[in-house]
Amino acid sequence: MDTSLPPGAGRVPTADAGGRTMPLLGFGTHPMRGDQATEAVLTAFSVGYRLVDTATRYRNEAAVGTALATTSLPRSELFVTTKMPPDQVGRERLTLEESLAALGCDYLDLWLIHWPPGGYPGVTSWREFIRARDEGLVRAIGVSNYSVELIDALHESTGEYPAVNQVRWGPGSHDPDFAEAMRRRGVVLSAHSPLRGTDLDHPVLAEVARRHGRSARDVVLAWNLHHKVAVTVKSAHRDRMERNLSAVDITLTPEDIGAINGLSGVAAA
Amino acid sequence: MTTAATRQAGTGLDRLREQLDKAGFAALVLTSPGGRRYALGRAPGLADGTAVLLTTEGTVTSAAGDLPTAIMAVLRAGGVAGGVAGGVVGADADLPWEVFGQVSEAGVRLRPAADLVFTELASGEPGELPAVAAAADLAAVGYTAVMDHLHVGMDVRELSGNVDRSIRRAGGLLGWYDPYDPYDPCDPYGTTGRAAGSDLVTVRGHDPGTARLTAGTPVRFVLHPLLEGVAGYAAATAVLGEPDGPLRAAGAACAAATASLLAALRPGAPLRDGREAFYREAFGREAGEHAAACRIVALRGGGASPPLPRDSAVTAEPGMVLGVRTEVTVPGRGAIELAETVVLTDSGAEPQARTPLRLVELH
Repeated sequence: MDTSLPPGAGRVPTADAGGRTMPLLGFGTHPMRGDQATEAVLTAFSVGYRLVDTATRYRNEAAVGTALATTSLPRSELFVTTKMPPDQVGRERLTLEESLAALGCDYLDLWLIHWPPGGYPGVTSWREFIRARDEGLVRAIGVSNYSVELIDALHESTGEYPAVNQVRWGPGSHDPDFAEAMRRRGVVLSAHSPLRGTDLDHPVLAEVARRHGRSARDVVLAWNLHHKVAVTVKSAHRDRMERNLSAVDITLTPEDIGAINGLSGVAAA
Repeated sequence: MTTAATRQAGTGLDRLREQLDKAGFAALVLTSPGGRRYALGRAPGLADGTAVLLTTEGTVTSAAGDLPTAIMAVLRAGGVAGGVAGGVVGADADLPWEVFGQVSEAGVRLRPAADLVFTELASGEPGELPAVAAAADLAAVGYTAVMDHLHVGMDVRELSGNVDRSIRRAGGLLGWYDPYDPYDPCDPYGTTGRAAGSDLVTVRGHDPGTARLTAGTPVRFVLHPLLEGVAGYAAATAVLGEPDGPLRAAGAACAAATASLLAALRPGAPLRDGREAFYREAFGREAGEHAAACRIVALRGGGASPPLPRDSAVTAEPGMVLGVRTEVTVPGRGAIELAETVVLTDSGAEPQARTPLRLVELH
């Protein structure tokens, strides 16, 4: 099967997410729904993606589940992430059961709290997440859009750090202190919308892209992977899926990395 | 001097004209915002006045001015006054007694036609339903934009901005204002005057002195986007922090009563059964001291129709597009407010926005 895979497939770097091996380049499904989502996930699998990222909020878990049921890839080779919205506090187990049923899975590889409920850490939900993991319904648990302070609050209340924190992340929002804080806590930093908020026409990106004979988009993905930041990319088009995946083959130089790091508005501030 | 403007009715009004004719009306005078919007095909502006007349012959006339004057102007311009066209005119809303006096002198007999108008504004054609679902989905996008970012101290203008950004990104450009809030009988504590927001979202429950959200006070928000002229409609309530006993009880009462309302919307049953089911459930519970209210509106025509009258005889039919809005108020604490767009099918009311019809706890 691997012989027909495009460049990048099979060489996606991984991270240890709470004991579970997590591909650092995954396929995001928002905002696709229905048949479009099913077809896109199947195409992504055929191209070489193994991580699929969905959420209760996306209203496409059943469509993703159809793809999971259709593909010939064994479940054990796939990494399925979904997220519980913040309005489900007190209904965590029900939400998980609904996600599992829609996805047609016995377990999730990663379950995230999608947003801090009301800006609070969400300790009530986090305890339920831990329970679900301990019962084997999910392999790893994490959060999304959390600050360092909120993550520490979860740890203080339960003794457990999230395995993953998925945040909006890209060259424009690169914050080395935040990344280091996640690393010290053993939290895998994951980027959603890695291209949004980035000026892909910026001369620095254009120059790096030119030197590597690639696009600025590819360079941004490679930059994330260099920092061991997981990225979910989304596209319904096979050629773009392949192009995104091929970013794993780009090796940026220290000078490239330094230049792209310098684009950060956070670092400048 | 009040002048009336007359034009040909569009084909979109053919079905209503047929129904008027069948019911023995020569014309229909529309004074409610929802009714006027439907007849005009857009939200009425100041120049479109306070009264619109649709005749069975196929003209639409509008006039500005005080209500009695505007009504007389459209009746004369429409050729109805003086009994020219039979003189029996339906009215979509309750009208002041002086209007009745004037039109009677002009040889016109006014008859209630609220049910006829409600039925028209509720009864969707099959081809319209995908657009209804898409508009409700847009309301759900707005819901997410609010719910994901709520936090203590948040300024309601930031909240409104989030909704605006998210809905625009999802393809929505405009919204509509629910015109019936000022007459809301379910707001005996005057909280409606503290609304904030935009044409896309209306927020209540913030601190009116600072425009910020506070812990423990329910924040309720109504989403009312337009998608290509089709109204989206949803409302939800969240409390930042763990609610105390009375709030939680009110939330449970509102959720249960709303569920009863939706369950009562069965094809062939009077729509008012939904109202009655709501009140039975809301006041039949040991939920402490609270006030409860609900209304059912029709959602065709780019906004909400006048609420279903208490004594309405309109029956639920598959294909109807309705908005249901419910509220339970806790004296001195605020209110839980829920709303949803539903399409009636053979098996009952099918929620479209699918936002939570319960008090959401965020902690």
